[in-house]
Amino acid sequence: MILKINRLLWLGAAVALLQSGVLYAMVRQHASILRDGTDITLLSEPVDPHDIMRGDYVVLRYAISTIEAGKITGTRPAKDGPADVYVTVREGDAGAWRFAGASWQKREDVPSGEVQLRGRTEMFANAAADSQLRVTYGIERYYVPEGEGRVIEDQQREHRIEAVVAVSSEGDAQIRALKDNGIVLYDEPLY
Amino acid sequence: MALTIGLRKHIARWQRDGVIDEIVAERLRRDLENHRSGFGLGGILAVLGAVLLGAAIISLVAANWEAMPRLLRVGLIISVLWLGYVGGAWRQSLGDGRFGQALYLLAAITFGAGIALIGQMYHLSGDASDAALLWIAGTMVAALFLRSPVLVSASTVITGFYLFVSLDGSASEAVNYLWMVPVLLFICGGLVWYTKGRAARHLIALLLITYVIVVRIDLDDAAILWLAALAGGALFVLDGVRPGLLERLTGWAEALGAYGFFMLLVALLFFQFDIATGSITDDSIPNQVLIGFAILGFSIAGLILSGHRNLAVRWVAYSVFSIEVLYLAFETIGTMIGTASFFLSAGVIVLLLAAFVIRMERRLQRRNPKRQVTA
Repeated sequence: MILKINRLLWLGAAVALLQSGVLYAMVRQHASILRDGTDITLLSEPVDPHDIMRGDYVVLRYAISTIEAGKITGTRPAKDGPADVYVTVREGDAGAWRFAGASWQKREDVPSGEVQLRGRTEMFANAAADSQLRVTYGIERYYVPEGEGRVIEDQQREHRIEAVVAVSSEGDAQIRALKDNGIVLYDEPLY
Repeated sequence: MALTIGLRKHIARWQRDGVIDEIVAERLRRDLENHRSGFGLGGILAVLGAVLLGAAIISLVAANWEAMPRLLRVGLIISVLWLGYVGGAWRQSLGDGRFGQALYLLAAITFGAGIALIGQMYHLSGDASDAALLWIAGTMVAALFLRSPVLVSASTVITGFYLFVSLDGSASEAVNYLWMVPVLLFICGGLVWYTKGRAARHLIALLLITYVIVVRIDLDDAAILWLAALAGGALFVLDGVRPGLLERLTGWAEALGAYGFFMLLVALLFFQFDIATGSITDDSIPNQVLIGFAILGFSIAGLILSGHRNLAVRWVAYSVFSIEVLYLAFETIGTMIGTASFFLSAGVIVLLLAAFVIRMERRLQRRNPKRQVTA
């Protein structure tokens, strides 16, 4: 009986440890992007929905959220469907970073002063050079405390909100802060 | 449970009327007591309580409540996780299976809340289906380690949640669900076998039927309907013709036959729907009536083949038959005389069939009286 109790308790602890470990690994992975990533600032135009499990959020769209298919260099993916696309940005006027180039393959020769982001898009083999591709970077949502989404949206409607985005060396992007005319609205702690 | 109460009443009546004596009645009661499913009302309430607590935690995360610092929220989640799994294992090892299962369930829901909280903390967008997959994987591992039937049901329900968020997401995420859902349900089936979690089987069957309908609507492709109709029909016929074989193979012949039969009829209803909306041919009414007759025919064939033995098949057949008759009546209402002749001929046919079925049942009863137990 003692043996059985111990075994079940160990199994329970093992499952708890495993699942806590998964959560911890997720925290570490995302915190490391904020800690070690390169910061870029993107201008956003917002939109205000609600997620069942993660709550209210503001939808953010960026200039680099749509890219002309013809502007992407490198070998096109052979198959239709989701594909990675590497987008480089360069710092422009007033601290906002703008589109510099895009490639289907990861570029190892990114010029200094440019930052490479990894995005996902839906590619079709017959897409014309001037067709606009929707690109997502995983930074299209900003979760806010319940009921606060409207405030950001109203501000967004009047003028643009700047998103400070941390980018890891792999090109994974994560929102660090939201700014309004240089004034910080939200700043993300590491944890 | 309701069945047990009903049986107890019957036993009391048999005893009173002298059909069985005191000793047999006592033996029957003891047998009922021993075969009672270990769950009962207390277990159901415990599971409901766990679901409510889990919903509270999910809502707390979704509210993104600033009064509670983030790290405290993460700490809360992790401690409920430990409390649930270790506490559940402790209750289980003391023989208190019901509270043990409820605590496991609370922990599994909390794991999902934890994934959502981290997604919220780092503003991750567009990963809802990946997050759901991670949640399913964690719950399945927990079900395997702790041999927990309730966690198998939870895995199946979260698979349904995954199907739901996959449809909601962008196209790149949505396509994966086509093969992912069957694979996950297959694993759930394996876990059902391993944990003896009988309740999860119904959830798996229902989700599989939902999946077929979703694929049909989402891809606008009838191929899956043909496949599902064939598979469902095969299960139904196998249960109807060789119930012993299917029961030996799966231990769940009656329900499999009924779900297969339901799938077959749902597929036929969808074909009818396709014609009604004009996506197959344009001369809709005659073909619709043709398929309508096929559906009515299948319902009655189902009744004849296994309705006398399989209660679930009987109810599926009755329901689909009635719905179809009403549908046909409304569909053909344009010509009243046509409707009248339809009901006239259908009525005559059904009455003839009734006479046939009654004769059949009487004959079957004479040949195999044991089979009438469930009828």
